[in-house]
Amino acid sequence: MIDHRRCAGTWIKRWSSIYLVVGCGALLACGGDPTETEENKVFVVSLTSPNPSDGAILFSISGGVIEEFRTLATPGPQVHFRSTGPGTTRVAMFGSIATGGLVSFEVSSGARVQDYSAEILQIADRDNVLRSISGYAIEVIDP
Amino acid sequence: MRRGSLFCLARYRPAIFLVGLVAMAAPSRGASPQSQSRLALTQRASWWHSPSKAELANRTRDVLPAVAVDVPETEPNNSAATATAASIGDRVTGNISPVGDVDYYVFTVPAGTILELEVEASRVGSLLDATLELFDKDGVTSLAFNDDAGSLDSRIRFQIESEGDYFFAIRDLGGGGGSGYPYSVDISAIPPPPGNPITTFASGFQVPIALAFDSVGNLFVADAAMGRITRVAPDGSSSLFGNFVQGGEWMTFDAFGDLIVPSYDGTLQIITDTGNDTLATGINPGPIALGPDGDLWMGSYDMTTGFPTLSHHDPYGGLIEVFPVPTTSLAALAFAPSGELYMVGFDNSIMKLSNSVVETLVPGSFENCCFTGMAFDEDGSFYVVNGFLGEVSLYGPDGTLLDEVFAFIDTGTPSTLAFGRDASGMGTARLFASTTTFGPSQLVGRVVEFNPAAIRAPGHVVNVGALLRITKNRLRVGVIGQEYADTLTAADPAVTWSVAGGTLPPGLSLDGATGVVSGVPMESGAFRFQARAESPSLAGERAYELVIEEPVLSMTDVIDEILGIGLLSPSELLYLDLIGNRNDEFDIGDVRAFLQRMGTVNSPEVPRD
Repeated sequence: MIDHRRCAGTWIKRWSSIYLVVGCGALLACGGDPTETEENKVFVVSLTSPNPSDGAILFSISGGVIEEFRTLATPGPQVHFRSTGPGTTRVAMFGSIATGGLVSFEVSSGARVQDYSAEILQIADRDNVLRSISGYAIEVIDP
Repeated sequence: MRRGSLFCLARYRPAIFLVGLVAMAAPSRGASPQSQSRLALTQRASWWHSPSKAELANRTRDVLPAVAVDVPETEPNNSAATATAASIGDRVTGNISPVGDVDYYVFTVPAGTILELEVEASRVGSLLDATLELFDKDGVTSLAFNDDAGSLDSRIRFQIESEGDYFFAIRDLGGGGGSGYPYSVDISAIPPPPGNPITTFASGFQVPIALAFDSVGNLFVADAAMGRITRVAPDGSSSLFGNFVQGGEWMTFDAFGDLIVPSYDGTLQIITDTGNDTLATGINPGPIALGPDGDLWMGSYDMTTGFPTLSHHDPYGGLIEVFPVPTTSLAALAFAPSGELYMVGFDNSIMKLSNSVVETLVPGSFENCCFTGMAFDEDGSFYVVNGFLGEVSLYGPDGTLLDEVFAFIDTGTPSTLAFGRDASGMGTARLFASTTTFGPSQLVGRVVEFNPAAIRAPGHVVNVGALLRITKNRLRVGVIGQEYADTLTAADPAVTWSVAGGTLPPGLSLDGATGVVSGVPMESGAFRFQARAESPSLAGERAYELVIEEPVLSMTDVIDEILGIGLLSPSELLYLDLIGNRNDEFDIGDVRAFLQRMGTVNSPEVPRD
């Protein structure tokens, strides 16, 4: 579900236990975030998929606390995330899931991409049938 | 009254419709023509087709003797005191002129005469929309009134009790008059139809539309105006049996001997002398009949399309199936001795249910409408009452008209016919009708009996064999994914159970030994099925609707669950899997299916703004 008011700021804030849903189509139209600073870096979670398009993916990211995500695909999938442990975030995305960047997140300027890793937990096709994750690969990259 | 309005009344409020017939057609006592207009139903009646002269000639040839003498009116004859003298056998002729004119006639009638006064005016081109009123020997007390009888012209048939000089008055319904308002009135003494004379069996009612006899010969009379049911013992003594809030136009005893009244609130009410109970809900009320297998049948309406239907219910009112009906409105249902269900429509159609299709035996026509009741004798012949004409006709088992005018009713508008039953429940050769007319201050209703000597055979009684009563009224609502259990019960606990028709919700099953319906529902919806209970000596079936709902889950709860911090119950997780990919696990595919149901994920995906 898209919150256009939050889209105006590009970055989606996470408020305690409330999960916000991102719509990337609107995001692209929103333009740059004036609060973004040169000191921060942006890492991207990238997927390699054997299938042209899936319907949902559940994955986790380890390496540090992530407070903000933004989607990269158009049209934008729904993104829900939650910290599930120290430095670990679980992310569920629903929409058109295909090879390429899924989400990006902001880290501090000193962060190293090799400190972050991602793991696919579940993937469902567009008929909601669970797929084997064999053949899929996911990684965190510094674009 | 316009045709559309009539249809609406006939369909949805037959009581008012019948009172309308009282106003439009029936002879009345003690009321002036002006007083009839208070019902606003005595509008200029122009909605039917006037019968042709040939049809009228055919219709009356068997009954009416030739009229011999023309007697012109002698003005002024605007009151009983100045009435023009005439005699039985005369045809009086005159003109309603000027505007507002009324013409009185006086004539001598021997005791016991069945008098017929028939106007001919509109049918031969006169502008007159006649009303006719018969007065007692004082020239003031109204004995009968009629506006229309098959056309705009009026007709009164009335049995004169004592010899004397009687009066009738003719005028225009709308108070018109002039040179274009000529008329003639035939004054005849007609041979009594075989069903006459009629006698009053019970009185003290207002609108006693529905009649039903119990198995020991008591008559139950539902008064739609008074909202009460009166029990009339075989000796004619009456007592209040029960009350109802709505309905009362239809009534029957069910397979278990309970008195059932379809109510306008969509319920089937059981009326007892200690209070009422709801047998079933969600019904479309209408004429009702008990079938030989104990099932109930109702003439109803599809409330969404407005078309009439015939609905088949189990003995408890549970809906089994619905049939379309080729008429504008069903007036009465009755089972023949053959076990076939017959119906009559207000449009005078006669129909029969045959191989699950309602077929027309006699096509409908609003010419000379409207049938309002029917009753079978044990030979399969049936009597049909026409509330508008106040006549009863007799038909053979194949629908052949045996006697067009078996009887006429001069005590008001008839509605229902019913054969009597004796103390052992057997049908008797006594035929009754309920009638309503205007009294000096209120509607006056009676139950009248036709000449028993003319009844050709005892009435047919629908005898239902002993049924096993299934006592479970309704099954509780289930939820997808949640364990479900409820138990069917019967009057005899030592029964075996089965599903006789329909389907249980997927995931549920019926234990034949215990009657327990259990399992985990897998789909939502309203599932209809017929449960059958059998004991060594009895059997019974009952229709149920088992509703399976979906649990109420928030998107946040479901998302939390897939993100690893949820608190959903196992049954809720099962529900999510059932609506998802059904792989016995809760996973991301199930969440996507849930979001699709919530409408937050499109399938297939479409661009989002």
